Amino acid sequence: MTRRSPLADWHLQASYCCAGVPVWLQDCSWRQRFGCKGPEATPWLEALGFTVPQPANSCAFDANDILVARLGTTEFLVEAMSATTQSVIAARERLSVPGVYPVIRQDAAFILGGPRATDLLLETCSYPFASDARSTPVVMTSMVGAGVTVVPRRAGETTEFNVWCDPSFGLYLWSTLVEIAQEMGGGAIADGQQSTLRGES
Amino acid sequence: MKRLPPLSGEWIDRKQPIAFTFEGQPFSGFAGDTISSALAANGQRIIGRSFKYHRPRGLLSVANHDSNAIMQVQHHGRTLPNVRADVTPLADGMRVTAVNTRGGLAKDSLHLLDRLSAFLPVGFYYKAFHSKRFFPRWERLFRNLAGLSELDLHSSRRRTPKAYAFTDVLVVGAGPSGLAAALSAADNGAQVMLVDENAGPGGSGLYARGGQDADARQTLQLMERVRQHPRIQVLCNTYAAGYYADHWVALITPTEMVKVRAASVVFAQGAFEQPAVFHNNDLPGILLASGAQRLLSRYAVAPCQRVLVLTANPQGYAAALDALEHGIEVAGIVDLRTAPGPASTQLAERLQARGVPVSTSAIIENARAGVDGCVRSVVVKTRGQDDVATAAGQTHEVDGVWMSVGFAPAHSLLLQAGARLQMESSVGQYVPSMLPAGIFSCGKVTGVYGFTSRLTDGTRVGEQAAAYVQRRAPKPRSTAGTPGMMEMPNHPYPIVAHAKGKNFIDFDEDLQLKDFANAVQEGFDSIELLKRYTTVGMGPSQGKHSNLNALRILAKLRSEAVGRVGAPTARPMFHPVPLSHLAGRSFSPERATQLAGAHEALGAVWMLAGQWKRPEYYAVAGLSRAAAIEQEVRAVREGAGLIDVGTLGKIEIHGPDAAEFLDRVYAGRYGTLTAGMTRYGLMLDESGVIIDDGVIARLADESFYFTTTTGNSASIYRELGRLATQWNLKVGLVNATGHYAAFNLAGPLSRRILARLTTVDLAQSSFPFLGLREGLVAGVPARLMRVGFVGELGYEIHVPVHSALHVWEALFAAGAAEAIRPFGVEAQRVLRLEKGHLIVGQDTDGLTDPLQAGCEWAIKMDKPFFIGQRSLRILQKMPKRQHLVGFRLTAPGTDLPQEGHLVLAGTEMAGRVTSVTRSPTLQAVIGLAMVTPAVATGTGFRIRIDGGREVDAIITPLPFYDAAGARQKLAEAP
Repeated sequence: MTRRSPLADWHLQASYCCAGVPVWLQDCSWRQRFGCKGPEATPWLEALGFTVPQPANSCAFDANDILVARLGTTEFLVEAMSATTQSVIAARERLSVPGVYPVIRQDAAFILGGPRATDLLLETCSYPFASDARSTPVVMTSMVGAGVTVVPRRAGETTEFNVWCDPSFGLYLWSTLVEIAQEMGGGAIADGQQSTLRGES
Repeated sequence: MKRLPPLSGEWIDRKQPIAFTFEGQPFSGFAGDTISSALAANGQRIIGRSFKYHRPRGLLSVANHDSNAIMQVQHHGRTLPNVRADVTPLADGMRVTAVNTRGGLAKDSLHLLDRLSAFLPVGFYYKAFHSKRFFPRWERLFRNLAGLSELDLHSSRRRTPKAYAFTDVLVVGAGPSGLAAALSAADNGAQVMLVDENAGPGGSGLYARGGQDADARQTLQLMERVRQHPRIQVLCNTYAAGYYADHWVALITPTEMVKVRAASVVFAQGAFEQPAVFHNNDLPGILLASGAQRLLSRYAVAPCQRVLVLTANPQGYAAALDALEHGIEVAGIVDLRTAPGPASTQLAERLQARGVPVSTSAIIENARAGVDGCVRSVVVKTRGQDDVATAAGQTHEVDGVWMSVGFAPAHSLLLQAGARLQMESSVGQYVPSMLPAGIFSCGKVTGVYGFTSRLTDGTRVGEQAAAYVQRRAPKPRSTAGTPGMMEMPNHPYPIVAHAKGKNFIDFDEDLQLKDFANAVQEGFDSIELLKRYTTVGMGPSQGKHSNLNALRILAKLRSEAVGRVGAPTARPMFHPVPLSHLAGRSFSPERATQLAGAHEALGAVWMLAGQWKRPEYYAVAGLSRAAAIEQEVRAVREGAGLIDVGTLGKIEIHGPDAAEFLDRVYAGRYGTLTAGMTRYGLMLDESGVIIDDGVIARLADESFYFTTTTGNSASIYRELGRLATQWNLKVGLVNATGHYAAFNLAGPLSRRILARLTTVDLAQSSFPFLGLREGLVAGVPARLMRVGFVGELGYEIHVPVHSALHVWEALFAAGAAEAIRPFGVEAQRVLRLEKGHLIVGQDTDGLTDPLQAGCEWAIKMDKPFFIGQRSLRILQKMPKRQHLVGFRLTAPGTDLPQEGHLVLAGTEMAGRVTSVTRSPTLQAVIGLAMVTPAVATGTGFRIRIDGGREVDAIITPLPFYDAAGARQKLAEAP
């Protein structure tokens, strides 16, 4: 099956910047992910060996860099943040269990990073990321008018922000943020490993 | 005016001289000067012309609270309109000119309007220039005469970014009470943001000294503590322009708008000193006392050499003492009151000891201008009854008059925050009587005027704000906010009538006392009507110096107390905001399906449907819009067409109570729907009005997938979530709207094309009309629904969005031999109208129920419950108010009616057209109309179209096309 990033139209005419800029965005819509919800979702995920965070609006990363984000009491987003994807794909294919409801996740997803990433957030989002004292928060908020889910993650000395949004808002959100990032001396960075027009079978 | 010798604490840096021009003349100032203070230091007393009568005007508040000091500035090659001279820092090379003049400030030819003022009272244009024929001419004339700065239309475009900020406690106003509140909140553990519109904190604690320095020293100590406090951030040159829900405050800095979300807000922004009203009270040289004190203390500028102080409170006496301290001769004190209070008396004794005469029960009856147009003398008389001066008077030769007769609390933001106010007689002003949770106020805005009392009040309130943020009870204190002033700071009516008028209430709009009397006499006797008729408070100062006196005048004319006549509504922005601050990026979310690029390549002409960008039609070279749409319609009727319907709302519901939930939400029945089938759904509100429709598909016993209209998907999903919680049913809802792409492949050849791509058996017997099947399309897992919105054999194909383009392209490739073509929203509208299908929101309105819309077939009244059922039972027993009917024009060649055109029964209005189109299939103009029952039972009606012409229509049964529905159920392609 061929998959295509919701941001692919942008990439067709993309002008990428180099790493090391003050603020950058990287498309990662291609990552393998699934959503589930329902009264049996927590035990089902635990039975599959995923690390399930307990408080709502928090997340956990396991040793294979699999993210489990708890979006509510019984709703989850599971995503392979790196190349280790088998457990996520396998779980997605087994998502037909009583009390566990599949949630289709065809998000536009990207990472926002760089030393001035928080400045970009202060211009575009009314959520105080800097003063959120939780160690692994999942923030559902609005960014330039579009609903987003954000997971901040420490990366060395800075924080990177993983952002997911409805794919129909993806192009608007991405283009707007890239434009602001460019004004700050940054922009979008290419992902040589993961083509945005990636064919998978 | 002159620059004084260096003063301790002055805001100017005398080591940095600055050269600039005003009206072409060279001037100089210092770094730290504002344009206003530099002009004053250079002796420039006339700085502008009034808006309407072009009277010469000078400084008034020196606080950016009045409209007199608005300039046009050229600097660094840019032209800046409507620059606020009171607060704009002077910069080297500035070229400053006055606004609203013809021929320059000194020789403004429009000053003749002042002589014609008797013919130009308030509202004269309503009465004189109402002719439709001549109005455009008058409009152009007045637009040319009025206005402030001139825009440079060639100015480069700038986008000013906005920023969000967050804090525990936001303190608005860094005067004594604000400083104390900030320190108290921070000392109690809160993060504090302290903002002030001035270039530095301190407020009146620094400039209103009364000839002594004790309060100023204490203020400086507070400022130093604030500066060093690790939990306090100070933003100067920044004002709070608007308060919005949840403690969201718009801060305007010199360069951008900062949207602050605070856990708590303390309003300590003080009070605006108010002008007295007497004949020629607008002459240059007549200032508010606080304005003069600002010039003296901050910029070391003496605004005059000999001053008369008109007062009604201790602050006026204190200002006179400050004048003496700086070498200004005080010609006398004119006190409006018969018996000044003890604080005033104490200060009067100090003045009298220095030879200053004090008159009580006195008024300034009028001021006179010298040859330079500035105040030269004033006539002081005894105040008689009805605020009219007695005959005898004394003339004082002065070059300055300072007014200190009262204050208006700066409570606009408090009102925006939801505070309630009441008139407090002990201070003669409105004070908060109720504050919403998390909102606090202190200092003058709450009627607390004494210096020490303001500090106490601020300290108390700061601790309360911190306690609120920390969700704890505030510490008990023995004193609440006490007035701390031994006498009332406000005179109840500092207004003197004069036969010649020119006693100005609103300096922005040149409104005189008599204008208010005329307005009330004409019936505009409520404050909101008075405001709109006279335009009081609607100029650049937004009523900061006029609303209170307007209220007093209205109260007097209505023989009521001021507290009973109400107050104008306070709306954001409270203070004018530069457009450049607002003209940032437009964060208007726009949704697009994943096929936007493909549509573009196919020549899509876009339209907006809510937030969605959709192809209206696909342009074809050499074809008009109508012809292109007609081709799209014909393609669907005769071959195959493909439309992107990914914008439809798409929701899944799972769980043991899923069918029960849908039976309650929709008017139809879904518990009996078998898996693999779909059914139309009509959603009503509690009053039985149609709010949405869609197709409900049963995936499995406990799983359904259903669509909503494009514009309603988000609100329907929210409402369903609320209902699921309220009913406590075992269901899980999934909003899949953006995550599924959807196409409608329609037309008699659609089955043939789809069969080349799918694993699903498409035979009529295996996959009947209204059926649902899941399988692969072009290798992608898909849901196929046989629905017939456009009235042909068709398949709605739903696939994951990430694979949308692949499937779309595969369908076009598979249908190339059948000349498949894309069709847009407009062709779909034609097709569905031919089939007689209604569109919720277009053919229905906020009052349409299913009985009126002819949708009885879609409601199952024998169900135990569904939303709107009870109302429908009542409506069934009542006569129908309107009916939706189909119509066809008798003369198809006539002009096309438009949606919304009137349906007429004789000469009476009998309904409206809701949909209309020229049908290429039927070669007729067809439509839907909502009409009265009497018309609905007849045979036809007339429609009034553009230009008042009328066309005949005959009522036609629905659907117009394929009444038997055979086209949707085609077994084989023709």
